[in-house]
Amino acid sequence: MDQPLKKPVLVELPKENNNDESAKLLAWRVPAGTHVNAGQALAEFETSKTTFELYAPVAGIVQYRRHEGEEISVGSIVCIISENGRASFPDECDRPGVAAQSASPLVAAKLQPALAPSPMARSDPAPKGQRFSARARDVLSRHGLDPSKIAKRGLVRAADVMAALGLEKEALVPPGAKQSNGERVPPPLPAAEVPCRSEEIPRSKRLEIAFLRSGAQQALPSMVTLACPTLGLRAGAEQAGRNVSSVIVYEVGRLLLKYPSLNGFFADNHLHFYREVNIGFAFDAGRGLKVPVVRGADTKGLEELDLELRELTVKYLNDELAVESLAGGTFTISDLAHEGATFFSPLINQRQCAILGVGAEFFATGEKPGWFHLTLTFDHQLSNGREATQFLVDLSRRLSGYEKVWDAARRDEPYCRQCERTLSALHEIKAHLVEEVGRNGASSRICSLCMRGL
Amino acid sequence: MDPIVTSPERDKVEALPMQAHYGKALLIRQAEQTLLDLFAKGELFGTVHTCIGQEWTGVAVAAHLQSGDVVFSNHRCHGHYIAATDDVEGLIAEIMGRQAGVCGGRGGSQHLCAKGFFSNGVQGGMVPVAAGMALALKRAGKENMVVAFIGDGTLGEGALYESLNIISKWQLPVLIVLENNLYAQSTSQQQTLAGDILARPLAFGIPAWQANTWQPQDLLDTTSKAVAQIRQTQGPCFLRVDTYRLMAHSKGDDTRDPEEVRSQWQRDPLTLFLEAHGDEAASMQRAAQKRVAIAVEEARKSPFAIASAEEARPANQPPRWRLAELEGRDRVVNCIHSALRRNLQRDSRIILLGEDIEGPYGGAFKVTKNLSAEFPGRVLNTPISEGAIVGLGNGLALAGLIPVCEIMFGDFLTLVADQFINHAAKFRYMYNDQVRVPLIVRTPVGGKRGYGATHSQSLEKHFLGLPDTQVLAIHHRFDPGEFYDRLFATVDRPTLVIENKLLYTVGVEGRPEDGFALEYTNDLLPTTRLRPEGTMPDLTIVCYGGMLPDVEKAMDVLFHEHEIVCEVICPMRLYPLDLSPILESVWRSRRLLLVEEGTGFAAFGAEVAAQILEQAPGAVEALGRIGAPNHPIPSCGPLEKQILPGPAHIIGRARELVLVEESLTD
Repeated sequence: MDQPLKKPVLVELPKENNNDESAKLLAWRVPAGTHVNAGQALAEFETSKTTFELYAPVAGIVQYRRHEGEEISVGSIVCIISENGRASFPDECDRPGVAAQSASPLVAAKLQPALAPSPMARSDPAPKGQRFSARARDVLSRHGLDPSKIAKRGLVRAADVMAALGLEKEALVPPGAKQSNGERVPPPLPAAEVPCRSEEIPRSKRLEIAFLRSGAQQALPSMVTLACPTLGLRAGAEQAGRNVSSVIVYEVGRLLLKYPSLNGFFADNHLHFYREVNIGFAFDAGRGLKVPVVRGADTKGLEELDLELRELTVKYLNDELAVESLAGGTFTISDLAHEGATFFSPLINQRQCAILGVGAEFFATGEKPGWFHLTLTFDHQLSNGREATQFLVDLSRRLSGYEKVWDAARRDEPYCRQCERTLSALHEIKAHLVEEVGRNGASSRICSLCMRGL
Repeated sequence: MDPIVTSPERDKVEALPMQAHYGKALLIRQAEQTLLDLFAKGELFGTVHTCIGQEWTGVAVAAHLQSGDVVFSNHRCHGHYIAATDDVEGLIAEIMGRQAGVCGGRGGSQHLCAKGFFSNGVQGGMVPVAAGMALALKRAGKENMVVAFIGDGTLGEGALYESLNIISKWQLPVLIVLENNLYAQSTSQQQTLAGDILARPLAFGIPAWQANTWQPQDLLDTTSKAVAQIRQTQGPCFLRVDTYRLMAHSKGDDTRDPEEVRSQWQRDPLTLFLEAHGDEAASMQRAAQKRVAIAVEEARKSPFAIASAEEARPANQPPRWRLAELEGRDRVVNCIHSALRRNLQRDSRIILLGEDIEGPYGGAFKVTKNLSAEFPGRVLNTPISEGAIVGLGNGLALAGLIPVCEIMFGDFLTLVADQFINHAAKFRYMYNDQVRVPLIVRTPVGGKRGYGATHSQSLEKHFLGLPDTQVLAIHHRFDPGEFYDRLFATVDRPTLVIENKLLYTVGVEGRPEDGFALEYTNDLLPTTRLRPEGTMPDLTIVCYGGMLPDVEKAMDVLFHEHEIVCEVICPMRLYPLDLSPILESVWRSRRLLLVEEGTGFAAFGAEVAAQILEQAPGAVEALGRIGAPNHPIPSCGPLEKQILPGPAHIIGRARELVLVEESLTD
């Protein structure tokens, strides 16, 4: 029964009940480095409701690094059982999430054990201050960041700060040091004599700076602009009760599948292409610039996207955007049309290679309808001018089809249930409608683009 | 103390003059001769040092023993033993290595313990122990005496003179009986003895008597007077007994002039007695022979000595940790002082000995300030006699007290080595668990004060690993007062406590540096851990005692400037060592740095490394040891600080072990 393990077994903390996302390690039952049998008790844990034992799933030598009293989140690696006791621990042992360490006070309260502490148990130490190494402080000050942004307890190193901010491990080049081209970074010019007022960078701005700097540092940015006829796009949308933004997000989401070099980033001398399409939509209505991310934009229907964007707007206005909503973007759209900007050059965000700017409608004298600019800033290391232009042309054509969509809604033409484009609009972009029959016998129509997920 | 068996036949009416005594002497001789036969047949182990020819010494002294008196003897102890205890059976079985023996077969010929009788095989070593026992008896107000048998050869050993000085100065009721048989092993006294024998005790102010074994009655009378004087004055006496060893020193190594030996046989009192009293004496001799023969037969039936049960080792358990709750910031020296004080109050068995420990001086490092005034008679200044200090401690411990011997500098532990290693550490086992030795030796160690080569060392490594002892090191992260409270409550074996002298003025500190948790194991004398919070350690540092503050400073710099995270494990008990806290940490970090202030060869770090390699061969990926350099410690302050282990050395070695990549800004 006890066959030698071929591969080390990572023993994770199981979920014991619905309430607890973590448990506290009360005591190890066996010393590290000793042999355990399958089914042998390894350690005792405590949840909000009870205590439980963690048993060895296989026989072998157990290695662990967790200490008594440590709060461990469900799914994290508690220990490793291997044949020779020389397995290495993976870099990331902790399942991110609701570990007491970085939890909000609300969540931490839930994790207090409901039982009276046993004689052996002791209250968790009062959250001690953190301790930053010199390099960690250096990173923080270079990026203009407040140490309180770092949730990690205990000892914090530069790598921890970088990880917490999602920054690449990059070479920090202080003035005077050698750059990669062999020249020395010139020292900053002596300060001007003109009097000025100084203030600390506000917190919200610091994060913004961090993201944009990071995006800029690795990229070779270039820009392409296309003027698109509005053709009543906005007016039509409002009439149909749809948000223009959701239409743009919808189309961009599908187009990025066709243009993967606009959905990736450059790092470590490699080109990285995302497997997902997560579109960040930049909001700035006076509460600071925030870019909530719509995950899997290519898989969601227009109605769904519309709803999501509305929800995000509400959350933004109520300052309730969760941290998770802001992370994981692969492409960004910045819409300054409502502010009135006709043309602007958006900056590529961190770990991305392109950003689409949508401008306000402008008119040639005496004419109506007008035009609006679509601007694509892109990283020339992944894409090129021709491709970027093709992307914009493609987008423009698809957007212009919508005018007919909502027009057709009044004319009662058949249309795709997903993208709501009418038959004639689809013909113009060389697509067609397909009739589907559902399980209950009801029929609906879907266009060839949506069927292919484009 | 078990009473000594007094001579059973003392009050019987005697047919022959001194018949009872002669009977005893014959018994002794018969036993010795039988032992020589047994040896020739290969039934004994080691060798036997027979007292044939000297029997009357033991007989005469035993005749004056009272219940409660204690006898200390040397390698030639069989006659003393039989005379004092009448336990021929136990003696023979013991020398035959049997469980029925006096010490279960473990002690053998030279190491006996029973009924107020102790012997050991190191010349002169038992004399300071005898003095300690006498001190205990005197303090208890008993009117007992302690006898210490020595030979003329013992006059070469320093321990004897240290003891003569003390027993005289302190007026201890000790009877030193010197059996002057003119030879020390093979060496004639003429070659080695300067001056006069009796001039020696007289020089120390000890009354001296003289007799010989060829005039037994005179010997009895003289012994009687000497003993009477001791019991009356409660002070010491010295009795020189001239005699002659008729057989070899041990076995078969007699190079003396055969003519000389033969002539001595001719004046041997037992031979003369047998010749003079024909049948009566012959029947006495036969009785002795019979008794000894039966003893041999019985002994042969008893099995050989068995191995002792290993001290029950706890099942292989991981250490249990708890957060330290250490109040206050008092200095280490004050914590020790308070503990000594409250324990002296609490337990009347505790007695402190050492140089300069009485008030107003209060000890070289002021640890015993004012204690002598508060506890008169229990805090005693000794002469500069390190060996005797610990010897006294041994005697006090055998008597059931808890002696605390302060050795002024750890460098002087060399002088206590014999008493600690060959006496204190041996008694329990070789006497077959009949005694305990709750002896505490405490000493300041360490350098960095410019005291130079003989006042700066950390020599504890030479005392590690002695079975049935413990070596402990205090530090500033566990209350030394609490430490001593626990030690006094539980001490049951010779204990060496290492106190780093630089720590004396350091404040006990319960708050660890930010980012670390201070934890103790759930042991009596716990291991301390400084565990990094929020991150796995890159390196485990093991240290003890005075190196802990240096390790902490290094740990600080290592994190702050080099982003190396350390976990520090600081055991309090160096021997016996519980490896599990160290092992657990090494499994977390996979790298180990062992730091000590003494030289590293065959030292604490080496032992830990070897044990880890044995128990967990895969655990360590990088190992380093830091110790003092391989030469004596210089006196020049800056040089000393440069070469002795300190934060800079620890930081450097740690960085080598962790091989940090200097990727940023270079």
